[in-house]
Amino acid sequence: MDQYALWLYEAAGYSRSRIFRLRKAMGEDPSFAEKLYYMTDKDTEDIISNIPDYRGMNRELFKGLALARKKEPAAAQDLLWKKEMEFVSYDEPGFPDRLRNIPDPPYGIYYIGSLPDPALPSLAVVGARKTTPYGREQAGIFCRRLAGCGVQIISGMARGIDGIAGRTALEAGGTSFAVLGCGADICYPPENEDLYSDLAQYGGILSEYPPGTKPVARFFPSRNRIISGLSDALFVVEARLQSGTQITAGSALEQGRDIFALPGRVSDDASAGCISLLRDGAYIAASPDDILEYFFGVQDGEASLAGIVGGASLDLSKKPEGASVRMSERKDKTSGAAEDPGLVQGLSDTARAVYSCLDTSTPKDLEELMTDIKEETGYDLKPQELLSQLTLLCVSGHAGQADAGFYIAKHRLSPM
Amino acid sequence: MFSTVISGAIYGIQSYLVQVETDISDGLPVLSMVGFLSAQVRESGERVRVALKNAGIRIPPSRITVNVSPANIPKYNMILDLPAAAGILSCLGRIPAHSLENVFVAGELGLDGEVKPVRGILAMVEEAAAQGIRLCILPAANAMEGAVAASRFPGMKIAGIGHLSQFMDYLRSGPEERDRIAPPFTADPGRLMQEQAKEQDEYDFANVHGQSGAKRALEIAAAGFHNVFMTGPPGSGKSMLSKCIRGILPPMTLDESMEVSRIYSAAGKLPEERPLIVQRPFQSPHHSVTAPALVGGGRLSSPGILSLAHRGILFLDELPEFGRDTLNLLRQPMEDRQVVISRLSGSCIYPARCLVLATANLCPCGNAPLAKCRCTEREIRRYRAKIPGPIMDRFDICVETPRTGIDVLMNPAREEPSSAVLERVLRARDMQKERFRDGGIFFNAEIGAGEIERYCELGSRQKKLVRQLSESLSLSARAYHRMLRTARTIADLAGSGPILEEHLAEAAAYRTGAWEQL
Repeated sequence: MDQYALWLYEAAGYSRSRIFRLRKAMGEDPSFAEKLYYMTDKDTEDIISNIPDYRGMNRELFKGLALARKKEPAAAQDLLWKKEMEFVSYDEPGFPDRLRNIPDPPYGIYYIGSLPDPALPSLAVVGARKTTPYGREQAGIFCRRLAGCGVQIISGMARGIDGIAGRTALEAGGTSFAVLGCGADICYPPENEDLYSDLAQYGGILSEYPPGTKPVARFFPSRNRIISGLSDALFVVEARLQSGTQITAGSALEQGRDIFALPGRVSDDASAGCISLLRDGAYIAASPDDILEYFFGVQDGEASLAGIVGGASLDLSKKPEGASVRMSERKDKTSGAAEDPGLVQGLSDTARAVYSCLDTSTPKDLEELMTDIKEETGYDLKPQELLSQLTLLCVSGHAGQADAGFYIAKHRLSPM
Repeated sequence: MFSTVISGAIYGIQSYLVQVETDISDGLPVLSMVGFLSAQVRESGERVRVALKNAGIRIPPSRITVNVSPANIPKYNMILDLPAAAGILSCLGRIPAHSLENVFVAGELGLDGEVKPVRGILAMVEEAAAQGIRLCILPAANAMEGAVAASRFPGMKIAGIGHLSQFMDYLRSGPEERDRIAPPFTADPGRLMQEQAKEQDEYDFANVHGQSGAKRALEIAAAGFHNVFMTGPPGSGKSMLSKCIRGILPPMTLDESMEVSRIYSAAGKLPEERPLIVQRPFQSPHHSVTAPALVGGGRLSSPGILSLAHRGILFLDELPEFGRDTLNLLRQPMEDRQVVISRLSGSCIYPARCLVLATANLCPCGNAPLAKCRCTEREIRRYRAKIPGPIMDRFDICVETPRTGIDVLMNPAREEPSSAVLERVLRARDMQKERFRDGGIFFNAEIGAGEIERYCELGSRQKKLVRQLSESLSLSARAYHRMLRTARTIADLAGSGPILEEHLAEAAAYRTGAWEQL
């Protein structure tokens, strides 16, 4: 930690625009913070007066610096360490390179745990807070696989997709990082307390805001730019039109990051944002392999697990030639149930009939299922028979309850 | 001069006999009533004095002492009027001394001498009969009730009295005269039960279209007396189905009837002309009900709605709207199947073996899980948290009532009538009667955690399935027991001795965890 940078961050009221202007005025000297600390009032005044278009703030900035000089930088540093937090500033070598290159970089980042590894691929995963069972499930499938292959998952630890992304990434033994719109020492939202403590231990919790800062709505768009800024690419799982997630996608574009979007149903509000992104040129992420390919290239027609940890990418030994070949290879490699015969093997006839009438997105209740099963398969099941079949299908992983009394089809969640 | 007469008092729904002793001595004129009596009970003195005067009896100035024995039991709920009057009359020689020997007397007196009804006669007369008393003189309005109680004791005579002067005439007369003054009351409970059972319930399953899942769940509940929790959007038929369940419950036995009638008698709710409750009670308190009204208590330790639903149904519509405190109070009674009300004077126990049938919407706006629902996840979670976990744990069956499609509503096909369902329920009941012959319980729902092994034996294949179910559905120990009890009833309905895999799988579908998931 550069204690002077920490000191300066506080002194300047945590305003990165003020600090960067100061830095520029001092010729972009990496040790400008230290110099400022020891500078006399007169010299400070000179520097400040030379900052163009900034005269309105001058008086405040000067007073702020003068007042702050009375404090010991080491004290602030010790305080942070006591909270088991760290701080990294723009000029330090440890500062994430990815963040350095965005249009509006932060000056400093507080964090608990660790920072993302610059050598490993990192993916921002964002999505709606009010999710659908489909979105939740896919977020889990993607993050589990990607994290298992060594991709670092960056998110906001919010309710919905963010939380699932972080959780499943850690469950798969990978690393995950969360950027918060409040102090890194505050767990927001409180429901994700378990994720918060896991991230502190197995990943990292980052924030541009000083410890103790409570979450406020206007901090969130700002922190979203850091989420996409820390990543190589952005993956949007679900988003409504004109949502916060859409704004994050906008930041990603500004930062020159590639965007992946998960396709959903055209009638689903929750997928409208994703479809809009796809229309505007985002890459389609119909299976985790799509994203793995992006990071690691393709080997033997499939992205392989071997040799990924440590950052080594794979040899592109068998690259598919031409789009048409690509298309045929990519066919059927979605993470949906499709018509995989292996899935329904071992099910009784009745169970198969019930399973065939379940849908992966539209939850159905008992009454509807009984009608559908009768129409489509001819089986006239009594409610107790249907109920026991549904329970058995839930146990075997073929089905699940979306909400009390409503059932959907799932595919088997075994490692693929 | 000294006389003694037997009367009764109630504490909770327990009745006990007391000796009312009267003495008239010289001394400053006063009517003193003793024997650990509350102020209300002592008021009897005022009524007795005036009633006697209006009946033409002049009490000479003397010290009258009325004692209610045993003196160490506090008496809050007792009407002393007629027994005290009887004692005074006997001491004054206005009625023959021996006429009150081994006679039970009870009744309230109006100031004009009219004899008015009191509560708890059913239990009191039963107690009197058990003590060997052969004559009960009761208010005319209570006479049928007494007759029902006495029906099991052939030697017992019940006389109904309407006025203090009639009372005096009765006691002054010989046996034949007596029967003319106050003809003895008799009752035939068996006939009473048959008569009332013939009344048709207008809520029949045949009138409910669709909802086959809920109907099946109610059938299981009725067969095993399991508590049921129904969730669904407004207008889906939850209330209608709840009223239908009365039609598929087996009729009460005479013993059950007497049990329930005793409670109603103590609460003062036994109808005069039909003093035997024959239909299973159906209590449906509004969610603004106070805790003491629901569970029982209050100053007089009166039975609550829960006890008035004993052997019947307690219907709690919109369960989340009941106060959390009120719901928490339900926890123990639902577990122990009785309510214990403790006061300084002692505790009384009210039975509360009822089937709790509760309904709720899935979210505050009611529309969930339809797309119309605009509630945020936090709102839904907060709404569902209104029902404390321990209460949810007491519902063996959780079933959903989804909105019925218009096709189903308009379908002219006939639905199965309640009578058909009742037949199956009765068969399952027979199996339970056989099973619990020696045990102390009557229904599968009452099987405790310690007896699950004994009554719900499983084969190895079934045990394997249970393990799978437990794991993939994350069942708690309570949930596991619930599932087994329900499976036992499902097997009974299928006429199967052993519990099979399909019974277990169906039982698992009724788990309550779905309410807590989002």
